[in-house]
Amino acid sequence: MSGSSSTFAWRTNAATLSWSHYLSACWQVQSSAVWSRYVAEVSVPDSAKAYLLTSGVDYAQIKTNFTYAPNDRWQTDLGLSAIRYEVTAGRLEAVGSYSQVNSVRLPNEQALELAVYANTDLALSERWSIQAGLRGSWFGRLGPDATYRYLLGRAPTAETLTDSVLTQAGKLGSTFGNLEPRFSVRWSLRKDVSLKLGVSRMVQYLQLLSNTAAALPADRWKLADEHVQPQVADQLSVGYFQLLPKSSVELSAEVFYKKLTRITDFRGNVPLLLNRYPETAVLQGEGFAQGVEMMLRRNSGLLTGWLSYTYSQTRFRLDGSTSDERINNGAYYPAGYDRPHVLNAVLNYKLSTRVSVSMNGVYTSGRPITYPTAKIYLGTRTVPFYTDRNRGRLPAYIRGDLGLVVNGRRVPGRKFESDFSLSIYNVLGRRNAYSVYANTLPVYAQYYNPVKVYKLSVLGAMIPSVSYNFKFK
Amino acid sequence: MRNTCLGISLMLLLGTCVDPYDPKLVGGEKYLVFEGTLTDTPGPYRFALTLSAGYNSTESVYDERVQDAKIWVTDSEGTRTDFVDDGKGNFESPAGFRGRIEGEYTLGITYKGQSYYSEPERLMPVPSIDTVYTSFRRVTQQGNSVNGQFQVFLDVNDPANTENYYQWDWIHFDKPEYCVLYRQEAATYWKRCCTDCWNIKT
Repeated sequence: MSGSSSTFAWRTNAATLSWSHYLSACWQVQSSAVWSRYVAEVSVPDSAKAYLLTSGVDYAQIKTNFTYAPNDRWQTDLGLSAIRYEVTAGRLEAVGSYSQVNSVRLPNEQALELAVYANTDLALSERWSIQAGLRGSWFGRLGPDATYRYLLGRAPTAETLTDSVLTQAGKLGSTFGNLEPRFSVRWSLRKDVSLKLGVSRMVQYLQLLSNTAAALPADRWKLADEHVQPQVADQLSVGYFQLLPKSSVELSAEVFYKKLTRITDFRGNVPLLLNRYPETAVLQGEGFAQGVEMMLRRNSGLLTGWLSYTYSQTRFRLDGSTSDERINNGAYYPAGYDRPHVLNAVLNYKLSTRVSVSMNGVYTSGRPITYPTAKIYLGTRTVPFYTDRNRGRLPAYIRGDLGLVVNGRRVPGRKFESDFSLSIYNVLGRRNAYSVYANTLPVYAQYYNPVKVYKLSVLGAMIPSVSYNFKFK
Repeated sequence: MRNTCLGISLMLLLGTCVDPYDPKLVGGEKYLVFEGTLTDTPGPYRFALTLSAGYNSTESVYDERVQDAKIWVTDSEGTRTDFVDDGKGNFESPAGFRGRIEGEYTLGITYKGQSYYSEPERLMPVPSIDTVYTSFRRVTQQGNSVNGQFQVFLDVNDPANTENYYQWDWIHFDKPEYCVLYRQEAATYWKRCCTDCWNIKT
């Protein structure tokens, strides 16, 4: 689908209801109900091609948590949770009476996730404390649902599709059960220095499938099924924490390694958008993420804020049995969301009791991108030719913001309070790349075929804003 | 405690912008590209061998021509038909050669000491076109660069039990009022056509 202009929109509605009650001096119960609806839309206004494409996720959760805290050295939590997911996989509607677009409505996906968990936090001595937890989760797809069957031992493709199995409304489709343990131990070498070792497993039943470098509402939300299985992440981390009491600065450094099982990436040459058989458009494989996180934080004094730096690598490997099921010849390659350097700085300085200034700085490496490796001449046109995935990178994202807050005079007993703030977003006015795209220009197709590459930026200018807030007590 | 919180804010919002960007792409290995279509229509068939160029503005696909390559087609009976090279990578089938429906053909290429062979491909029969008709649709939306479009429809009896993909070629004739005299840099000079003039696009 194409158009002269496209409008992207995202919307999230959410509501939370929570209730907390002390059963006794040691027991507390906390219950909550959470509902949220996420909707993403792409629309194109051109008369003959006018359309509206909608996708989204509805999420409803009820949970109850019991806390048992007999003393300040031991706390145990026990809980139950139930989540209902409903995914709008994709709905394409023609807009206006001239539109030639055929409407498409993919069936919604729905599922239930039930979980029971226990977590205990115990200080064994002055120096040692441990935290251990276990979460048992069960995930079941709910009808109406269609599961497709493919030739035995062959990857799902349009050619290997053989049959479909329908699940009636109110019936259960494929189910998964998983245990997610977590354990961590903290050792205090001194009063101000501690080490922490942590291991954990996490299972993800809802995934976002994407085949672009930019975050687009055309991405596909997918609930786990027998072809696109839940993703598992096993993490090991070692952390060092130090408090510098004189300057009230906290310092931390953490090294982590995450083993990723059944990661998903797009297959290539099979459209993901509005595809009734999303399993034919993706491949599952393995991967890892590793890195180091460093942080410096100051919470009191005239100057407060934090500085953090992360260096990490996320690599995927898709090494299927046929060349169609391999990406980059089955070698590890950077995941679509891999950003090696991430630097964040947030600083606040109190000029007086009523006036403070703030500064915010962000530096992140650009996401990987796949540039064509060659142009080839076919028919009467020059077309881009792609080989390996994610070999290039978008330019780095750099942004600085400045702010000034002036609090209104607080008069004891008065019911009116106000403050005035002035801020400048993107002080450097940097046009950060949201996406990069390339055109091959057919000047004289065979002899002179220049390539023009463009960078699309959103909010690529300095944006000042003024606000005045007031409240009545 | 009850709080009433209100905020007034003023913000200047700016949209998106598009800037040229140079990712400094460099060329690398050149790929050999074959293009050609074999049908059961009378020949000669023209096949082409070209080399790819790096994806950047400095390289072009005809910087280097494919020379001293050989192309031939072998059918299931083992009959080999050599195509005739014009020295620039364009190959033409010899007189009398014509694709046969249900025939199985294999393409062979040699270039710089390497040989390449295709899988045997069967020439599939195509149902004939029943009718071709057009309809004109006016485009009334403002800001659109065209004020109408012709839609061309084909009616074909496609056998329902086999999955077929179709490709069709067409020739587009357009009678212009003005003809291009010459182009100079960005400007184009026009003159009123003196005789019947046709823009023909395939």
